[in-house]
Amino acid sequence: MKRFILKLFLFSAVIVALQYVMPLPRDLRFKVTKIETILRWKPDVIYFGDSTLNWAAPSDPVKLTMPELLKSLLPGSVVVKLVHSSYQMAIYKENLRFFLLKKYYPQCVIFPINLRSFSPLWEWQPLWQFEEEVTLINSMLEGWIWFYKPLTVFKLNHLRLTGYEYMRKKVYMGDKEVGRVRDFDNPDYFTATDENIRRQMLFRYMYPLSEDHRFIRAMLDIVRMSKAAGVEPVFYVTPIDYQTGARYAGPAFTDQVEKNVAFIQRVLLAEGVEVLDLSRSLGTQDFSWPEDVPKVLYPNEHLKLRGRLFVVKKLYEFMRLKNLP
Amino acid sequence: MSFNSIHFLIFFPVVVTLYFALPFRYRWIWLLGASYYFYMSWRPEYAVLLIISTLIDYYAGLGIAASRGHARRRMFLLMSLVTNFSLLFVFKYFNFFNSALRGFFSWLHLPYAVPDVDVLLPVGISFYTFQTLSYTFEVYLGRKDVERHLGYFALYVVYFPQLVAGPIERPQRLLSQLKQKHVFDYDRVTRGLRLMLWGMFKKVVIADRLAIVVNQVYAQPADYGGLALWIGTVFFAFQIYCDFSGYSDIAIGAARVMGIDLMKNFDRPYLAGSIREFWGRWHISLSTWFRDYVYIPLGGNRRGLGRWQWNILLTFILSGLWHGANWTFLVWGALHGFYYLLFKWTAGARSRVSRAWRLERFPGLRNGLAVAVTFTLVCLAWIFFRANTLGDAFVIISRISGGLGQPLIFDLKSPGYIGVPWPEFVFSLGLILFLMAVQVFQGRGGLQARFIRQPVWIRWPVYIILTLTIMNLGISEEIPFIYFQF
Repeated sequence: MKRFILKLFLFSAVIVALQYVMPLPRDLRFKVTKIETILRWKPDVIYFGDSTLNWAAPSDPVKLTMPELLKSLLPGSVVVKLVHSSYQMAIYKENLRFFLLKKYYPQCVIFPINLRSFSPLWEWQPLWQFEEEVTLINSMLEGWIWFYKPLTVFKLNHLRLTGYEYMRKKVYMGDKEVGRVRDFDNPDYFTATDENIRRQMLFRYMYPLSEDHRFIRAMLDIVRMSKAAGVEPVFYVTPIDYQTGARYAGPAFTDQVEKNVAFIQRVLLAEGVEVLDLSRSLGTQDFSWPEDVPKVLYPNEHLKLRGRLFVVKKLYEFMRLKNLP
Repeated sequence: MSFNSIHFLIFFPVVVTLYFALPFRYRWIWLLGASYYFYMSWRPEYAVLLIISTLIDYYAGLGIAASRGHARRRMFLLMSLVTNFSLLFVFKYFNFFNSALRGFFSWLHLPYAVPDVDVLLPVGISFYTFQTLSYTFEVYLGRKDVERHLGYFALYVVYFPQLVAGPIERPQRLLSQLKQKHVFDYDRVTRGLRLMLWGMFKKVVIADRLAIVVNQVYAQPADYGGLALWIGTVFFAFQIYCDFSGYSDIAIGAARVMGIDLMKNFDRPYLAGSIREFWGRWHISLSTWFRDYVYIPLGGNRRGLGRWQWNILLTFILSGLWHGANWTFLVWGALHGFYYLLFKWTAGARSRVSRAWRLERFPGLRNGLAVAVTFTLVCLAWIFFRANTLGDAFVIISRISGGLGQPLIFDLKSPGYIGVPWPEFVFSLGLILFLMAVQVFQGRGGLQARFIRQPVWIRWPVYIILTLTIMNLGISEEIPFIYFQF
C-alpha cells in the first residue's frame, strides 16, 4: 500500500504542476478576457444588459446600439457595455463585486431592470443561472483560476435549480397560483395562438414581487456595495411591450406591472436610490420583435431605433440630473 | 451523486480507505452506509423505496426457502413481483398509461378525470428493481441459496458502484463476493483506477461533447437537413455508448478497487456483424436478464417457430419499455425485435448473395459490410430512442431519406446551426475515430495486457495525458448520465 500511496502522490503532484502550465481552454479564455478587458480599460461608465444592448432592428436606417448612442451623448467618457445572455441582477452584482475588489471604481454603473427577468423563466432557467460565471469570478479573485476548468468539469458550479426543479417551479398571476413552469415553457408554445400569447404575457410579467426575491436582494446588495465604494448605481426599468400585454391579458396586466414597478421603486428608494421607470413609455411600434429574423413568437424588449433613442435620451437626462458621469 | 462530480472524487477515496482500514466484520456496515449516502445525495426520501424493495425481496427469499409446497413458493414470488412492479409502475409508468387512456377516452368522446401523478422518477429504480428481482427469481428457481443476513442482502441491493445504472448483477456473483475478505491488492487497485480513468474520459470528453450537437439537432429536427440529422444520429450512437459504457467502466473499476468483480456490460457493440451479436455486446447485464427471466420462461425457441418469433418480439418490446415510459422506447424495442427476426429470415438469402458475390474470399470486406449494415440499422433505431416524440422521429427519418439537404452550418447566428463551431466538430469526429481505433485494437486481443507490460515512461504519459484531457477538455455543462433516467 505504501508503494501505491507514494505513486499516487507523485502522480497527483505531476498533474498539479502540469495544470499550472496548461493554457486556459479557449471558451474560458474568452470569458476571462471579457472581464479583464474592462478592468484594463477602466471605463467611466459600465452599462450592463443582454442582447437588447446589441440590438438593431432589420428595418432600422441606423444600426447604432444603445451603448453606442449613449457614448455619443457622453463624448468625454468611456462607456463600456457588459452583456450577458439574459438580464440577471445576481450576476451583475457578482461582476460589480469583482471590479470593486480589484480596486476599480467606475464613476457610474447602469443596471437596467427588465421586468421579465424576475419571472421564473429568467430567474431559474438553467441556461441563465450563470453559476459558472460566479465560480469563475471567485476563482479569479481567489487565485485558483488554473483549476477552474477541471473543477467545473467535475460540477463544482452546480446549478441552483436543475431543469427538473425549474419545470416544477410555481407560476403566479398576482397572488394566484396558475400552474407550474412546465405548463408555460414547453413545445406547445412553438405556436403563438392568442391564448398562448396571453399565457406567455402572464408567465413573463404578471408574477408578484417581494423582498425575498433573490434579484431584489441582489439589487439591494448592489446599492450597498456601490455606496460603500463611492460608485453611483443607475437603475432604470426597461420598456416592455405593455400594449401587447394589455391587449392579450387585459387590464390586469398593466395593474400587475404597475404594482411591480412601484415595489421596485419603493425598496430602492428606501436605500436612497431613485429608479427611472420607462416600463410603459413605448408602444408596440417601437419594439422590433414583430419584424425580427429569425421570427420571434412572443414580445421581448428589443427596440427599434426610435425606441433606443428614446431610452438613451431619458437615461442621459436622468444621469445628468445626478451630475453623472 | 454522480461519478463525474467533486462529491464523488472525495467520497470514493474516503470509502475505499476506510473499507480497507476497517476490520472485515465491519466492512459491510461501512459499505451499506456509504451506498445509502451515495443514493440519498440525490433525494433522501427515495431511500424509502430502496428499503421497501430490499425488505420485500429479503422476506420473499426467506418465504420461498421455507415453503415446501409449490403454490406457497409461487405466492412469495408473486408478492415480490407485485410489490416491485407496483413501485415501478407508480413512479415510472403511471403517467404514460394514464395519458394513453386519456387519449383513448377523448377519442371516444368520454370524460376521463384521472390526474397524472407529480413524482420525480427515482434514480436507478429500474436497475435496482431488476437486480433485487433477480435474487428472488434465482432463489425461486433453486439456483441460489437464500441469503439470511439482512445486512449483506441490503448491500447486494444498494452496492453503490452499480446501484443507479448497473451492471445489473446476479446474486450468485455479487453476494458471495461481498462476503469475501478482500485485501489491498496493488495490481487490482491500479487496474480498477485505470478503468475508471478510461470510463471518465469516455463520459466527460467524448459523450458530453457529442451531446452538444445531438441536443441541438434533436431539439428542433424540422430545422435541419438530412446530413445534419444523420450526423446528429451517429453522434448520438456514440454519445450513448460512451455515456453508458463510460459509467459501466467507472462502476466496474470502482468495484474492482475494492476487490469485487462486476460483470462486463459492453463489448465493442458497434463492431457487431448482426443484431443478435449486437445484443450480445450491448448492455449485456440487461439482455441476459431479459433472456433468463422473460425469454426463456416464455418458452424461448422450444415451442415452435411462431411462438419463438412472438417471444423475441415481446422480449424486445418489454426491454424497450424498461428504458422509459414513452412510445419512442416501445418502438425502439419493437424495431430491434423486428431486426432480430429479419436477420434470421434473411440468413439464407444473405449467404446466397455472399456466395454469388464471392464474398467468402474477402472475409474482411464481408465482415465490414455486416458491421456497416448492423450499425446503420442500430442508428435508425436510435432515432426513435432519442427523439422527443414519435412525430419528431418520423420527421427525422423522412428528412434523412430525402437526401443530405443543406450543408452543415457552423455559424451560431444562422438558422440550422449545428451547435458547435467547425474546429470543435472536427475534434468530435476525431474522438469517434480514436475510440473506434482503440476498439479495433482491443478486438485484436490483449491491448490492455500489452499496455500494462509497457515501461513506466510509456504508461505514465498516457495516464497523464488522459487525466489532463479530462480536466481541460471535459465538458462543464451538466449532462447527466443518460441511463440515470431509466
